[in-house]
Amino acid sequence: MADETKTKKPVGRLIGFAVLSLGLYAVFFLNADMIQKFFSAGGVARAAGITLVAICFSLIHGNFAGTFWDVVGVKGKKQ
Amino acid sequence: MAGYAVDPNAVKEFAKLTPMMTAFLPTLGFLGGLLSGFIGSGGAFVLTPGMMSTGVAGPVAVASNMCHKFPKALVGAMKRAKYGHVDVFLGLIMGLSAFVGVQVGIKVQKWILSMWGEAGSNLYISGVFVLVLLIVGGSVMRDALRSKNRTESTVQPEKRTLWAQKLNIPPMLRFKTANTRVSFWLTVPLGFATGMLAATIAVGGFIGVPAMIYILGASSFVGSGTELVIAFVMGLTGTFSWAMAGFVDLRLTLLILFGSLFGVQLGAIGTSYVKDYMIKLVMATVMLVVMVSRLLMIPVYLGDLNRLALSPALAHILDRASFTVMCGALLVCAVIILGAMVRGVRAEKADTVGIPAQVRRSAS
Repeated sequence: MADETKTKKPVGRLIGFAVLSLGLYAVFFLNADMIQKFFSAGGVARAAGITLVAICFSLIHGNFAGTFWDVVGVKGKKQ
Repeated sequence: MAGYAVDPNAVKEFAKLTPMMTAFLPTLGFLGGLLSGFIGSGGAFVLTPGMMSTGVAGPVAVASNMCHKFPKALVGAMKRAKYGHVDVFLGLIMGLSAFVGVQVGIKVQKWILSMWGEAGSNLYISGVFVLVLLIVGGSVMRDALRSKNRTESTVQPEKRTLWAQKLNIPPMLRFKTANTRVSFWLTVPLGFATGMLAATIAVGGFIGVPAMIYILGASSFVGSGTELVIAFVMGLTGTFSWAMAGFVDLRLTLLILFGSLFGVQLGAIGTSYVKDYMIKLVMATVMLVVMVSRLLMIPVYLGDLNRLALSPALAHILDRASFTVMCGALLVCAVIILGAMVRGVRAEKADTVGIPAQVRRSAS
């Protein structure tokens, strides 16, 4: 009975998003100066690029962070 | 401190990343995110001065803070939506009105800047901070303490909603999740005021969340959750303006985002364990502590305007004290939120242990 109530922790999902998130951060910070120089020129296209980059990081890193709390057992109370 | 005004004449200076910054910014982001996830706003007020304290130029700090705000709000809103705390329609109406408010707020800022210079502008910002936070924060704190003593914390907002619902000026808008029906002409000015405040002190939610609770009649959960949609709309448009001028430092944005995406989701989870009054209590606490922080800066700005004789040493002490109190506000709220969460989790565990025991008793 006790085993039935236990839900499986999404460890695979956590590892997947961790790899993606760390990969994104690594790619960005290894080329940070070049990327920053590119975006600091301003303009509509670059502004759109910045918002897209921010959304991309938020979705991938956000999923990683959310799954992390799930795996460590910090979950919202069932309403 | 003004959150959104883009100064085209400002000099673009991108700071060199130091090990201290790479440790400090994610930590600050986590605490700011925790607060945002819980009360729907906040955090921004300490992130800009926090970045500036590490040597980042003012306009770059404002722009980079703005750029981290909308992705964080997006993730937070998605999490809060799972708990039924987000009224997307209300958020979009208020968010778009807030966008207009931001534009007007920028114009007011520029006018004050042209009339009284930077010190006058700083004095205006701090004055608005103190006045708004004292009135709104004080009222919210009073209500939170009253609500704490009641078993039904929704009695007061329902009473106050009546006058808002009596304002029957078409078009009337029905907000399903917020469970309220109010005039478009009441909703839009509230969003506008949120934007005006955001343009002035960078935290529009200090008006937006109480307005949704006490005027539109939303619960604290829905008010704070929906504020994240407003923050998303304002953050996105604000980021675009700053990025067009090339002021966003993505390195700083992503460092803050690293911590804040953990924080915002933890804060959102926290709301599912607490009672209605706890959100009000945290919101009021942060407002009143930040108010004290800005109050400390008023003599400094009066000194800059030659209206008060203040030694540079004392001005420096007040400046540092103000920043320390602001960081203290974040830490105090983090402790309250995490403490409430731990108590909530323990209570739930006790319940789940108790239910099978009762079932066993009734079965036997």
